[in-house]
Amino acid sequence: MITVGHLVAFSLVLIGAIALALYGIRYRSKTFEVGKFPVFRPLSDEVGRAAEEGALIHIALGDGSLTGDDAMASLAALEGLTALCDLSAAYDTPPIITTGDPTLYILADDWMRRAYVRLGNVQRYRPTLVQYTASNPITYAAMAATYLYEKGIGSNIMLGAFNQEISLIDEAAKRRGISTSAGVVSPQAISALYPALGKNNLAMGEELFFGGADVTGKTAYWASLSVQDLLRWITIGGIIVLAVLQTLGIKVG
Amino acid sequence: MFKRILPTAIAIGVGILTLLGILIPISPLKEVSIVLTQWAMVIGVFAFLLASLNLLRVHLSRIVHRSKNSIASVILLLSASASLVIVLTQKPEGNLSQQILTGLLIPGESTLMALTAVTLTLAGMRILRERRNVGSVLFIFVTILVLVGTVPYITILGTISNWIQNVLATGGMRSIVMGVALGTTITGLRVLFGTTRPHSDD
Repeated sequence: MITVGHLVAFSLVLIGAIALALYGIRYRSKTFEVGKFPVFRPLSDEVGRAAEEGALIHIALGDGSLTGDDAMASLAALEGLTALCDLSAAYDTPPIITTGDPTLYILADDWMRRAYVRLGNVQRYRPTLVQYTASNPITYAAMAATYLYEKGIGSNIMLGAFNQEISLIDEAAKRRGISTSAGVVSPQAISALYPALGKNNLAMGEELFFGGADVTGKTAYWASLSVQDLLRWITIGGIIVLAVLQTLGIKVG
Repeated sequence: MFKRILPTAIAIGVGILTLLGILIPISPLKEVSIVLTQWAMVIGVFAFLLASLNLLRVHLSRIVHRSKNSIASVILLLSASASLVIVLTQKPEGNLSQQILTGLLIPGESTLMALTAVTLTLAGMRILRERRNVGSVLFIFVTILVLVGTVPYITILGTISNWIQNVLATGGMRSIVMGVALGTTITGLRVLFGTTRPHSDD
């Protein structure tokens, strides 16, 4: 049975699709400035630092399955890492990428391999640098924290779907003096990381989805950010209208 | 063709059908959406096999190269193999399988959860040392207020604590979740438009 909720969701998706096409056309010939967002800007700089110091970069991608609710958060996390992956492939200083989900492991492995393919240097790619460590979120976090102690890591980046267990990784990084930045979507992970990282090193909630636009400057990403803003205003308007109607005693849905 | 156009066409087609099945749950769209989601789950199982092989390769490599703490890799591989054999022969509801679950896995995870509580407390305590500003002081003040408010018999603080949790915290959490939902929708739409192609070569 189709409910009011279904119709509202369908309308939002339809408006989003039309707006995405229109903004895409509008931004076609426009160039965008990259590296404006404080969390994503220094990510690619870490590659140069890692190459100079001989230290490794650890990227924790969380446990957001591609067949679950967190699929797009995981994809957005990888989009935010595009420039870092390309530079890592160019310098041949690949990061250690850990995931807590098998489908995400396959995507991350392919993402890193494609960075080498783009450079025409695929034979240098080492598949063991992308690792599936555990299927349980808390075990995954504990394993990733262990890597920070063991592997000579100089920089720690946590992007994707996590919960409060992320504090295990962050605590390990703090104890080893490893610089950390993160982008997480769940309120539990945000509240776990905010005291430690503050707003300059932490992309909170929807900010994770800015990564692709900020590091690549591609039209499609910027168009999607404009649509995100548009949908946000429509949602706010809808909430206000519903609140007014309810105050007046008019029942909707 | 096979590396770019075909995967993109399949992803767009399957994505649109699944989305329509969820947004307009009428026959046959709903049934098609359910079947496609089940196929995704089956593919997910194969991903699990591939990922397990990766785990095996990583730890075998550590053992062969005698890396630091390679003994941990030996223990991991032995315990994983033993668990696999036991669960395959006894089924998950078997006596020994259940003992592994309740005697090893659940206590281990509970320990890590307890450790998480400690690390969260430590992170909260560090905030004043690292960033001394109004926001940090407010953060600590509200945290202590909510914690003390959970103590029974302190009625006034309990009421304030409940109000903070039910109104301020819930409102903040909902706004974060709503923003993430919009980001998720738009990223999904980009995949459906073919402008983001996680499934095919560039």
